[in-house]
Amino acid sequence: MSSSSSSKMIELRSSDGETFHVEETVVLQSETIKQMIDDDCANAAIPLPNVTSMTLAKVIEYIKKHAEKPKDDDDKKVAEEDLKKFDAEFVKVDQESMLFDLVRAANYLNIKSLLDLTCQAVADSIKDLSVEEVRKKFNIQNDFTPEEEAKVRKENAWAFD
Amino acid sequence: MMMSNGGQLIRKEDNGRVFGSGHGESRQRANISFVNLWSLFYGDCNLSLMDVFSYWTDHRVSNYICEELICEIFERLPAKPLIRSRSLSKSWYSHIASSDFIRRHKLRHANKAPKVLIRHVTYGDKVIQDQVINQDISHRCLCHLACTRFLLKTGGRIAIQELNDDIYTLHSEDQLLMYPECVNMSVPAVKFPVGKGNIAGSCNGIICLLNNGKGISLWNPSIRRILTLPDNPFVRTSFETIVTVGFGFDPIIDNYKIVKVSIENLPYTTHNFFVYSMKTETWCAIASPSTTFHDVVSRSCFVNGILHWLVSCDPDDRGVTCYILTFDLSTHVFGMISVPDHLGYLTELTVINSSLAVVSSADDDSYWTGPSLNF
Repeated sequence: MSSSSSSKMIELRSSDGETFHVEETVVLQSETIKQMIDDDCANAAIPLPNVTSMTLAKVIEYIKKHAEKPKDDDDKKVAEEDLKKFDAEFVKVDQESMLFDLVRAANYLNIKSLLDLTCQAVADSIKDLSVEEVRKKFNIQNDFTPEEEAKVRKENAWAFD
Repeated sequence: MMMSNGGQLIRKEDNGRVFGSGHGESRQRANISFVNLWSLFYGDCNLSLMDVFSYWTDHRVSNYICEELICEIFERLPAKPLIRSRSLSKSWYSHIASSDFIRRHKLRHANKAPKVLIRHVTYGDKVIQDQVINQDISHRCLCHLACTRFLLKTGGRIAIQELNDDIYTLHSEDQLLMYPECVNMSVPAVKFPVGKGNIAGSCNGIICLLNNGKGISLWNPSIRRILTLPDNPFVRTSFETIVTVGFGFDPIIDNYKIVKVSIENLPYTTHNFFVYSMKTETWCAIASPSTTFHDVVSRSCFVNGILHWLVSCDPDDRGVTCYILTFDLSTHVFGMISVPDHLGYLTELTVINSSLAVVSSADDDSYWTGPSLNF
């Protein structure tokens, strides 16, 4: 097993020009970056024009934590619990815009588990909201006429109880 | 497939997504109205898919989360807020009903704890009995025991509602098993959709109902929608008596199917067998099994693409001389599984830990005595 110190470092550059050095083994969780490395495009700093330094720092925190390998089976169980706790805390962000940034970054970087985690967190946060609140949150234009909307709501009246 | 944000998104599961493109195959697939129950229930949608595509490509707003990611989020919503989201806009109304969205929503929620539906049957002066079916047809026996306790404790509360109609409640299985005193949980009681209909089977959270021995309906309690199947053109309905109905899913062609066994002329003639395909919306007659039987003892039990019924060979000894009739929903081939003859009086088939199980009863009081046989 290769030790972490011998792992190759990859340089990532955020949209605001900050650079981050991350071990290759860690950064491979991003399918997007993995593809770049496979295509031999990762010799210089990898520009990530869609990800701010603040978001990228969070993403790196996440993938570093998820790259930790448990030593044995007992350790594995503890590590799983630990990871669950970490995930739960990770999505407790002060600002919703940060959660949206993380969803976008997870999608762009193609980190499946992070996309799952953040999308579920957003879903949990909107499941008790009114239709109007959801429209506002996602900037969805209501193109129903009032009559049409009333009809649609009536079709599913029970869901509005 | 071209993505409309300049190809920056790397597809993770690019297996037929329909966004941002008029891709022929995707459109064709999404337009099949009976692909599964949700799209079937949403068949009243007026928007064409092309409208949806143009809406999405023209109205992307960069400082908000893009529609594709909103989709990812909506796929993770439970049924109730998701149904509410149909009122957001015309495009969301259509998209949440699309077969592609429904398929992905189903996959995302496949590992969630199964729900148990309890039907509270009212008779005359509000004596309440129960009928239990698990939406994922597993652990039905265990649930039954837990639910009986539930009913004893909630009997008064339900009676207070002065219901003449049957009602049902939905529960998560772990709640029932861990807290039989769940009387204190606020579980909404909802009117059962058909008066004196019977539950014929269930699969993927969809329940097949038999109304007064005649019509067949499919019902999705999660979204409270019901659909009645058209009559079978091969028989004159007024002369037909349905013996049993089986309901299941053919994973090979992604299709729900209903099997109907009926007799046409009383008092007794041979059984006729029919299959209804949700995808083609047609009935077809199928060849009878090579084995004969006199009576169907259990309701159908769907496991791994195959329907099972407990059938009896002897008219005078129902529940004792039995075998299991099987029907493969992909190949339409009948088969049989023998049952050891020392099991006593057999009443029901069920699924326990992914195994088919026969339930036997010490006497004929319809109480479960637990699984006697695992295959």
